[in-house]
Amino acid sequence: MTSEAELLLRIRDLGCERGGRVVCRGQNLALAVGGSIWLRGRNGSGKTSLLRVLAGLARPTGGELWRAPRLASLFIGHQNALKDDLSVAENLRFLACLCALDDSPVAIDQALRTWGLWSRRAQATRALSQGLRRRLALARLSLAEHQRLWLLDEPFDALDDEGMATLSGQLYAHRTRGGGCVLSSHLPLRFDSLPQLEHWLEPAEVRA
Amino acid sequence: MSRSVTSAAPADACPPSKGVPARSLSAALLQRDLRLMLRRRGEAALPLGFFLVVAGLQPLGISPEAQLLRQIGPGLLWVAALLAALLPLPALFALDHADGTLEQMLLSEEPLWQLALAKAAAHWLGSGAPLVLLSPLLGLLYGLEGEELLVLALGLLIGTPVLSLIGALGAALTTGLRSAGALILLLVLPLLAPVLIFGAGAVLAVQAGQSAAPHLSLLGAELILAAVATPFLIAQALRISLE
Repeated sequence: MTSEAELLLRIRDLGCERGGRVVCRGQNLALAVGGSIWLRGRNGSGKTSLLRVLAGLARPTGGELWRAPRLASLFIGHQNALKDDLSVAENLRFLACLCALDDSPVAIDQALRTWGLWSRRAQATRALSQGLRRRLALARLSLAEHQRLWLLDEPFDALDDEGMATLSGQLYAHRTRGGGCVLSSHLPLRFDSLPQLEHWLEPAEVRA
Repeated sequence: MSRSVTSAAPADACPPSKGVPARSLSAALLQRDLRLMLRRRGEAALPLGFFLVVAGLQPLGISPEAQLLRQIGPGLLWVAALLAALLPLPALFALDHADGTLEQMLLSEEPLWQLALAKAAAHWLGSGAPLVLLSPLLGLLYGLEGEELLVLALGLLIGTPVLSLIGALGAALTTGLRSAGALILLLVLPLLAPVLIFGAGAVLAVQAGQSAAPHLSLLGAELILAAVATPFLIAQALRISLE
């Protein structure tokens, strides 16, 4: 059993609901420093709801949620939070500010290069494809070195091979510097050397 | 005991984030909203265009008689301003709600009421401020003159921020609902009646040779009340709407 000092996050017997309906209950999880939890389950099994509870966007229906004191986290949901009328660079800069990330011009430029968006930095975001939008939303990860907990909802959605490789690289770097992540994904994740915890969500037995 | 020397990182697991942005989030939010308005000038100019057209058409429909226009002018101009300010409200939080920006706002470290204030300020700069600047021109159309024009503009200057603040509250309460536009009108218009009464009353008082000060003071009192109360209420309404 890991001691509390090495934990970023722990839930005990946690339940969550969506639209007044219980979608999962009795969840137990512990995320250690450098760890990663892969939430799995069928559609409607509560992956997104659980992530929203972990992020603090929704209240659990019961159980205990413990986060390491002064733990800064970054939540990236299904929606990309981009504005069509802003340029790629403007969007990233605002998102960085919104999430209290490093929004210095140098860091922003670097993040855009990392995610292959540099050549499009002045383009209006409305011209981006779905995959590029996802990349732009995820480019925040490159600025989130000090947010030790990453909560990502289907981050691999719409990404091409190159984008997936970039994301995997970011996740790997984050874990090796002592961060942790909880993410949901339908695709198998590959961390060459790092262990990966799989957590299956079963649909709660609810009689309508 | 667990937080001893086990490893370098854990005890100070969470350094107070170093890469903190230099500018405040509410300033950045205000800047973003203004920039979005500039990028969509046609949409952003709607309230002003509406104000001009409504205020300009009324005399045609009612009567060209100068004395009558002078009497009803202040009231008509205020009603036009009120409706113009309500136009952009349905989109105020709905767009941020739809694209996920709002949930990031809820998670941000900056208090939500400050962000709410920034949104209301952006709304005022887009809808209220241009009306204040153009109101003397329209006042002339209704035969108002001298001090009356000044009091009209001054009343709008104090009153339109109240419209923005209370309007933003209505918008926050209806975020995520269908037919939010109509609901906002129902919620907000009754609350704005006092603004209308004192705003138009100030000009009428000047016309009657009295001082506009009592009316303007009451408008000022409303502004203070709205500025103190609504940001927190907006923040609360937004939290509820996202649950």
